[in-house]
Amino acid sequence: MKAIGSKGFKLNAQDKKAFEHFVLVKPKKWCEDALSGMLNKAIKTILRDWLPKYKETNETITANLAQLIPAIVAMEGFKPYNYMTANMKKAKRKDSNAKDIEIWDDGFDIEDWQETALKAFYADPEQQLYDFMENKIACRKEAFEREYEPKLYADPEVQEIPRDVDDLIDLIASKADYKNRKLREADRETL
Amino acid sequence: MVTQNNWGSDTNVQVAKGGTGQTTYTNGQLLIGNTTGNTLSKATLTEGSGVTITNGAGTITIAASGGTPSVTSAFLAYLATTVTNVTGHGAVFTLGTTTALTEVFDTGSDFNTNGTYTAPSNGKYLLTGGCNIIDYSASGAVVSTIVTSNGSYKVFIGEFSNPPSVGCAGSVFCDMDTSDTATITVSAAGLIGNTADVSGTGRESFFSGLILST
Repeated sequence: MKAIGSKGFKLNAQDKKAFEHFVLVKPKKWCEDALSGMLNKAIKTILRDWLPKYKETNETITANLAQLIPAIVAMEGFKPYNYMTANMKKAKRKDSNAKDIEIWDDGFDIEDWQETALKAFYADPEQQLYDFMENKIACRKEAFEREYEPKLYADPEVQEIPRDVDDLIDLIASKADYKNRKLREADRETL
Repeated sequence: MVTQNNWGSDTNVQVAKGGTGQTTYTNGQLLIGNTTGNTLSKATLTEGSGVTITNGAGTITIAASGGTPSVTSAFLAYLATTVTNVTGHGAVFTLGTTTALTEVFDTGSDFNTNGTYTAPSNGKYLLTGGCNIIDYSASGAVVSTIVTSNGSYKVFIGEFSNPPSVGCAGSVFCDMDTSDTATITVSAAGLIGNTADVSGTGRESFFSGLILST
């Protein structure tokens, strides 16, 4: 058993609000799902590309992935993919807003053979997972801006809009009638 | 007046003397650095997959050659076995959760047969899917929802009165961020218990999608 993401991950309050504006699950659950997706992609790609070659030199093929994946990766001629998802974004943050909300602290447990699959496919699985989370926050903060800046432009009572996205998020989320996705969907279910 | 003797002994002016080393060209030829002898070589552009090159007198036209665009992530999977007693009294059933789906294709390896598609990059995605609810003799509402990390899209909403079955399908063109997930759910109401089934016959219950742009 290995832990991935063991350095932990922290967000600032505005990151969390932007995330919860769009996403139902908690950030830690989102990241667990992202890790599941990483594992699925790594395992399926390795099997798709290398199982035919493995079959050429092995008479019996185990159906146990915990045995099969390490055997394929150890096969002579196997080449790691060194895959890294491109165009990952970094979230904009005000320096004064501390990243003090802990999303997870001790990482996510995976089996040894799963780690083998991740390392065979991703150039740096640990960093990739952090990049996914950071990219997610960046995308949701941009989406928050896209959603609310036009509303502020259209509001005759608004004289100026916040320069920083963190301030914009605080402004909108502090309104009495503001609801994140969880609250919006709860409202819809009760209609 | 500059004569060739000012620049070199050859009939053409060499690169080291500030020339090109060339005297004649065909349509579309470009001068490209060549480390062998530190010279300039003449060459035309080479066509690639989906790209055509047309050389003219003093022109080069580059165009897409049509054909099928390359899709980096696309999937189609369906339920091959009917799952029983999963909705009817409001229970929400997620396709693939109790019985693994059967894949037709999964370009990019981003789909899990447990019904979850994971976005490989930030982009716009087209997701489609549907379920056929059977053993549902009731009066009530049926809702099918494509659930992504960024939003829940009710792609089918209907009110029925004692139908033999309800096929509910729909699609959404939506934004997804890298590693976001998408699933399809169905919920039926009106029965006194969750005794309705989701059909696994004839690919009536399926989920598919692809990335359309980044």
